[in-house]
Amino acid sequence: MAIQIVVPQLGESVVEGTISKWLKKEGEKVEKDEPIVEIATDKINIEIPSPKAGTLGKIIVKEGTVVPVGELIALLAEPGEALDSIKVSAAPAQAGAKTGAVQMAPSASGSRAVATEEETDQKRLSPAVRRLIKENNLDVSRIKGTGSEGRITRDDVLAYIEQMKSAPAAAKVQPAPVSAAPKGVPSYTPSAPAGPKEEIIPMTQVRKIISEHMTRSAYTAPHVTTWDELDCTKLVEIREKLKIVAQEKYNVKLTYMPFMAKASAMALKEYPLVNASLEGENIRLKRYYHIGMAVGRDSGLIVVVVKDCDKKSLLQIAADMTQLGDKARLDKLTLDEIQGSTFTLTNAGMYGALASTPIINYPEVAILGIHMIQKRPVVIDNQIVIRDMMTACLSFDHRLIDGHYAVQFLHRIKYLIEHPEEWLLNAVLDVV
Amino acid sequence: MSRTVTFIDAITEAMREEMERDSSVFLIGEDIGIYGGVFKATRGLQKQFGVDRVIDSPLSENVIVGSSIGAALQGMRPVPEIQFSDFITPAMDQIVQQAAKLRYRSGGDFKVPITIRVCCGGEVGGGLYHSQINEAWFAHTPGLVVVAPSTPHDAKGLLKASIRDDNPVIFFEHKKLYRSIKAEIPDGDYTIPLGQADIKRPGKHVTIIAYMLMLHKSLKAAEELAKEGIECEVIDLRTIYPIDKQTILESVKKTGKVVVVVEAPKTASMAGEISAIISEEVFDYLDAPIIRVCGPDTPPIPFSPPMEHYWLPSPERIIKAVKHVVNY
Amino acid sequence: MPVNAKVAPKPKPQESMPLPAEEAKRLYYVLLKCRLVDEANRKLFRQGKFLGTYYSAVGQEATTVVPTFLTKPGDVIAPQHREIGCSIAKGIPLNLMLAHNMGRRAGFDKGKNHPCHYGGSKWNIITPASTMAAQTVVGTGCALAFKLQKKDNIVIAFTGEGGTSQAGWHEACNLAGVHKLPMVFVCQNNLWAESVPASLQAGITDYSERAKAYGFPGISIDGNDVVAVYTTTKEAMARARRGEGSTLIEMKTYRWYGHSEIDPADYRTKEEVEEWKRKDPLPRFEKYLMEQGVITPADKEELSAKILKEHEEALEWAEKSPMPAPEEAIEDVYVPGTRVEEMHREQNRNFY
Repeated sequence: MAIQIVVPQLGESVVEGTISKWLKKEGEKVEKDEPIVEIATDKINIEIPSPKAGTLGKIIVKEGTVVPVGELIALLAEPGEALDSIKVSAAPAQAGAKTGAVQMAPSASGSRAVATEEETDQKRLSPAVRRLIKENNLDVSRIKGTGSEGRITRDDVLAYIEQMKSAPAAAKVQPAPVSAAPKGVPSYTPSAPAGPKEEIIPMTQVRKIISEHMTRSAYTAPHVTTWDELDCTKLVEIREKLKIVAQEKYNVKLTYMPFMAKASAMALKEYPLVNASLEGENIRLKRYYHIGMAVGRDSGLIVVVVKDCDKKSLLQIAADMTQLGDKARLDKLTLDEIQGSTFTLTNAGMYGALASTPIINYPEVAILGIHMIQKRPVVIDNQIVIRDMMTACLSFDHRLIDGHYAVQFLHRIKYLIEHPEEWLLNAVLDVV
Repeated sequence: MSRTVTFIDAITEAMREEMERDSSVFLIGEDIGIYGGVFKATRGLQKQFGVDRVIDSPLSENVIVGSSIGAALQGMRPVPEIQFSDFITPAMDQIVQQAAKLRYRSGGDFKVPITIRVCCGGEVGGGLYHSQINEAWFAHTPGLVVVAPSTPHDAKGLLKASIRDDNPVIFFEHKKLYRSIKAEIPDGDYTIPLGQADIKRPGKHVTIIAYMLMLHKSLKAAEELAKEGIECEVIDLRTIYPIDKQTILESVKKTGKVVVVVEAPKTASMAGEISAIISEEVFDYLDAPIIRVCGPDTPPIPFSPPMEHYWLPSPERIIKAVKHVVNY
Repeated sequence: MPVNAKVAPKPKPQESMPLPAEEAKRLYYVLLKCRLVDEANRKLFRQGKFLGTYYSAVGQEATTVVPTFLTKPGDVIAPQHREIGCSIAKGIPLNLMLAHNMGRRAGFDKGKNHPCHYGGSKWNIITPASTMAAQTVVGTGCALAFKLQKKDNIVIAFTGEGGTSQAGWHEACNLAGVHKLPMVFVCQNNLWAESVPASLQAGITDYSERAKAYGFPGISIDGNDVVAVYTTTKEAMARARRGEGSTLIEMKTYRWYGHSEIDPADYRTKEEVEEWKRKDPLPRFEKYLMEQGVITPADKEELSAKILKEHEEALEWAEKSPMPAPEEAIEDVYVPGTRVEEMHREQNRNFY
């Protein structure tokens, strides 16, 4: 009896994935738990291990196809089973790939999609709503539903379209003064084109995902960025000493990030709204402090999550960060490692940026941008002194967080960073 | 120029004018001649046109319809009357097996230009045998045309059009409307095309589809709903078969929400057919399920007032259905 | 009994009175009750106490009361809408009849059918529809069953002369003729089918002539002559019980008032109405009984008072009896205890 290989549940809100790569060929032997296929989702690339030993009998879905969770993608022949007897019977799950919003149907293999918020919403998308979304290429997650139980109604979509259309009022344009014609300028003769003037490169899956993610965040949350200058002189001094211990005794690389994570976790406890998320008209307060940290890769940005930063020591956070960073670059992250953050840190300073206006990591409500620590002249007690200064930029979601709250939160982080002696004792080795 | 007439006056006028215009038009039915009809629809007509053209038939619906079919085959245009739709059953073979099928079974050779006027409908305390409509039976019989006007203006125009049409027409007249509805109609000859619905009240939020008494209930409901800012588009079907799909579908595309109101037991009523058409042809425009407001599945309509009231779709029930789709 | 006799034999003095004195007195009581109740009901209708409409049978009491009076337990009556006499003769309580006309739950139909459609299995009266002659067809089925069950019961099917124009009536007669069904077909020819005169109803004047076409005897009698109705119907019933088949009895009679109480009946002449009122069956029978010494004027007064009191009490009771609850509209479509009824109840629990 052929064994069905189906697309497993790949994350709470994930409804589909793309077959990235078949790791085995038809007819090839497979061990139990050996990876046979790689599937990419908008969060992660994941390898699917074989449920049993056998031979890969039939690949049903090609590489590059988008498949819904639960879809049958291959058949595995058990030892002794003839390969040509492997037939694709009328699949209970819909055959063929789907793009766009997918209707969830339980497959016969039993890999049932867990009804999630997003899926329920999709089930309640009426025909009229789906048509309008398709016709206008809309992101349904950006549309607010005013129907019963938060259903997105046709009118909601129409209102959204109207809102998208209304361009800011054109300012009264003064006719530009015409300047005198140029004289004696040597003319420019374009040389024969070396190759085509334009080229089309398709986006990678990861780029597509990042693009969608950023768009969604930027267009859902009204972003405001406030910044402050942190006097990191003490921090620099302490870190210089501690990083040696960390490296030699624990083989752990200690950057500034663990300090920022720790300070953030403490400040978040005092400013709970910054650790929250918005759900319709409800605010979800979270009493755990998982700090996401943006990691740059050649393939694109990803956010790894260090859980419970309030409870972990600086050393542990540093160790976690190192390990996660490595895994990120090797594309070996698990789902758990990229999910669940309540607040995110992004370090553009490592590339030399002085300041930035980061985009919030949806569905969080704030993100803290860390930048280059630079020696700068500052005024202290009416004297000009040289200090290690860093600009920290906090982007926040103004639906939930007002200016003064954000500023105070950032100010608290500043204070903690500028007075590490007040908390380091608790944060060095063991749990706070 | 125009004048105000009752629904039944409009019917009488239509018959009179058609009989004046075309000598092949004659009437046959029970109590229509001397008595002028139990509702007085044919009052004065026997006096004007004589016993040969306004015939008091023996008590036999079978023969009223059957003889009309025969006369039609011989080039006449009979307008038989069925006194109560509840009594149409003795004539079923003639209507369903003969009138509806003569053309088809003769390969287009014969035609049956009869117009069967059927007095129907409830809310008059008529009980089980003076309240029925049964239009679905005939809408389900290809070969027949089924017409059901709701206003005096439409009644006159549609009856004239039906009489002039060469196809066999079942023309329903709701007895409750006979004298309770008065309206202005234009002087002179006019007809209304068969198969054409009419938007009696334009609106953009919900489409309500109804006919005869239910049209008036729907208009009442729409009036109430408008006070709450819900604008209903009320479509008067006017012809039950063939249905004016275009008007319905255009309206649904506009509103995305539909309530169908039919004075009939719900199962297998016209409401189901209308819902199916909409779901099949403009599915992508629906923003809520289609709601049917009908009577329950019992013989229509139980006699005692509390039960009759419970049975008949009312403006309140229509409002409830509309609000359900609006708030969906 | 000779076929197609146009006139009934004249009644002879008491020794040969066709019915014993006690029975005659009882019959008189029922006829009187039918008359008085009917007239009282007409008043109630005009007072707005009845719903819908009211079909009066004043003037034609003999045609329904007498045959019903002659039935025995188990015999079936297949009536239409003007057969109040059948119900009175069967002893249906007046309060139920009035409750029925008022659409109350206590009425035989629990308020569902049309008024004046009295009946019930308890009295072996098939609850009528408003369709003409339909019950006659149904009646043939009851008669067929009696034959199969080897019972000596019979069916009396009533219709007016108008009803005999319905195809069903002919089909019923035909079946009865083929199978010698134990039936009595009573055709109450009251000369008017609402506004349609008998001359436009049929090409014959004596409807009893039709029986020949079906193979059983037909007889036309004076429907307002109680004794004639009695003797003719008795004989027809005996025939049926003996297995000799059906009889068609055309009873010539007249309804004093309109087709229903809202029909002014001005398609008839005043003279015609007056002429038939003179042939009122009740005084004729009264006179006959008084001549025979069976009843006295005092009896009449006493019985009248008793009847009117009963009617008054029935009215009081009926007025107090409750209307059905609205939800009852959904009941009695199917047989309770069946899966079908369960499904029907479930599916009709809620509707828009």
